[in-house]
Amino acid sequence: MKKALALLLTICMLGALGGCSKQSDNGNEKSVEGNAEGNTGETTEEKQEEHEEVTLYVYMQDIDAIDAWNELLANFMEEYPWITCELMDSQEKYYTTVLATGDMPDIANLSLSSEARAMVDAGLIADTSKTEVCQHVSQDYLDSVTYEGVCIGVPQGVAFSVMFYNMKILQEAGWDKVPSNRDEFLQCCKDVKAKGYDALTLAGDKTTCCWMLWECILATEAGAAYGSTSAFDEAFKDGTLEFAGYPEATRLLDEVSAYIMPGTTAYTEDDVASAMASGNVAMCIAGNWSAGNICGAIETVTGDAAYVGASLPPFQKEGEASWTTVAPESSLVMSGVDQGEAHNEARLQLYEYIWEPENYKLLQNARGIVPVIDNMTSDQIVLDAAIAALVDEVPSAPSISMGFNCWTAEFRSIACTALNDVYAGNSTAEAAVNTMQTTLQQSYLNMEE
Amino acid sequence: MTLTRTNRKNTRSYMKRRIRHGSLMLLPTMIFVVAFVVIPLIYVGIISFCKWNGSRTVKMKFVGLQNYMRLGNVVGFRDMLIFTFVFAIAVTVLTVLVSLVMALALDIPSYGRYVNRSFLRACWYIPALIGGVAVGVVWRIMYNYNNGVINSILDMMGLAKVNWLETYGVTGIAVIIAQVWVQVGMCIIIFLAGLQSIPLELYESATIDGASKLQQRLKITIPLLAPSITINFVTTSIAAFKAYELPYTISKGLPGYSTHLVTQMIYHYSFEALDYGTGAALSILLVILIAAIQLIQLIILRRREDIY
Repeated sequence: MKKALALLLTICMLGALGGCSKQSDNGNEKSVEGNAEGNTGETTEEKQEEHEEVTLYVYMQDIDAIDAWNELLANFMEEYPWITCELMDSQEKYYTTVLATGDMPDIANLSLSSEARAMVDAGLIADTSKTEVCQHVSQDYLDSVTYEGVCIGVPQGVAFSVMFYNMKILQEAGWDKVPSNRDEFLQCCKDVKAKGYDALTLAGDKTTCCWMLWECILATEAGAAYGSTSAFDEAFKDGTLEFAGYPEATRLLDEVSAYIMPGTTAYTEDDVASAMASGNVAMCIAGNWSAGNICGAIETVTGDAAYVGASLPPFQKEGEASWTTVAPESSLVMSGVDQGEAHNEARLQLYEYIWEPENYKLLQNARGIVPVIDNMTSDQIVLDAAIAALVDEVPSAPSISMGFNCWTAEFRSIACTALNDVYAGNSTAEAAVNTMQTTLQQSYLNMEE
Repeated sequence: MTLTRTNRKNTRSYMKRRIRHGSLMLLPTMIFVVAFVVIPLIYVGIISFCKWNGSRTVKMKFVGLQNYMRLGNVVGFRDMLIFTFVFAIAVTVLTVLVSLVMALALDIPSYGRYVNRSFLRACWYIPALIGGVAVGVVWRIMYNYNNGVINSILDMMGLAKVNWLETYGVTGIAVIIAQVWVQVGMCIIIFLAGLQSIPLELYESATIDGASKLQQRLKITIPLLAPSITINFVTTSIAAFKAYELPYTISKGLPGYSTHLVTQMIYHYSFEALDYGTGAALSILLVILIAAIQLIQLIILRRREDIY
């Protein structure tokens, strides 16, 4: 009986495998036919004959628009049938492996981190400053992603910090508008708490978001003192930034931390969206790249998009302008490894193709990011209403760079651990600020060595 | 006389053949061990005396003992060492105790008509089959302060919620519980194998001599399980010292450095800070720690086995 069952299962498995292979053969035929019908001039076969077949690898770290990427690459392969594109899944510490092996994907996304710098040094990243798309990006953005004269790529968009609000909870607490300065914000937190809700949350698990609350507070005090974004960045990178020199910022961090939802330090960005969707917390500070998830969560729990509120972080004193933190998002980089003329040409074709407004809108619409290329028309850009209202405010708002543009991995780890201790109520802001101060200088000394 | 000489000759040539065949059989394993254990270990040792960022185009710079000297100044190093020891000891002791009790329970021949012994054994073994990250994510969700299942149960029972992942001391316990849950399955299997090798006649004669069940457990079962206890102590403690993904996924080393393990710091320095020298120095430190503790454990446990 057992033998008969095993035999039956084997036959079924073989049958299924046979069926799959037939189906995929048919699938190939179909796609070739489809391509041939779609082209008006030369046929697919003619195009393929003219060109050497090439396979390109596209790697996206934390891929959050997989359908859009698949659609974009399918469109590209239809237009360039001799090029096959393979989208690779996000892998832990992928770029460390790339550094060690030199096996660089053709297109990837990467911030100007220490890994990226090492990859530039190793000749793994191409200089994209001469590509067509760079003519549609402001020099400031290109400068921010240039290292040793190599422009590593074009940022996918502009990132900035945002405070999101569940206006239904705020209204219940007696607030018809979002708080516009630090006193109002603290009062609002107090009122929300009095109604039995948690006031504020953030993704403590993600270093960028963990740091965001402190940097937005620090910006209101230290930003003006340094005068410009670049001066602040320089001081940070030089290790001369005086975190402990702004007691008002330290005090505010302590006050705000008292209203942070318990459990926040373990939250990922998805957890923050879930918390907002639970309707138990009124506000969260996050990057604009999370707007889709967070706005959707608030809309779901309140049942009305009108209850979604957003503003630049309101940590400034009364009568002063809101400070925010900004950064270019991770850039789309192109491999600098020479793989033959046909391959290099195909790689460039794909890179330029991605950045054509009609193609890039697929990615932009899926992620709701604010693009940096200036040749997209307003009808091509889709943004959440709450974010769209802020996009005009950001360029004129005073700002500093997000921490990840300036810090070392060692500083990041120590600083975020110290901050999470404050958010969890285990430590004081003063202790955390002192730790950051010491670590910044130490971290800088280590780099010098 | 001639016969003896021939016999000796035959024995010698037989022994030679045995050694030759044995060596040949061992060769593939030896090649793998040298290629994937010995050489990498030597390489890590070399890196620990150098400064290197892991790039194949960048040459290593010899810095002597600088990476080792630096360890003392690393923020959270003391807390990390303390928790690594606490974690390893607690996980080892709890795992061995729980698995011994469970193995004794699962060794009972029958649970009645409707409960299958093999099914129960399989249930206990399942956690050992699941990947550490998956287990970590599940425990992390269960420990969630606001909507985790553990706090929901406490809430239903009218007890105060516990902030599992943000409270000093409590987070360490949370991480240890999860690690024990994962490791218990494998130890139970080893204990069960040990229990099944104990001759039933010993229990029968002890029963005739009037020994109670508890006395039988203490005087027959435990002493004869000594080799299994040794194996479980050694393998569990090595696994606990090497644990990385499960504790990291649950707590990320927070709050502060109270649940930070040496392995997490190795990962941070090597693959996040791209400081392979410091990462390698920490790795060598961990190897020495594990080797020293295993040696002590083996000496003590073997002596115990000899007594029995």
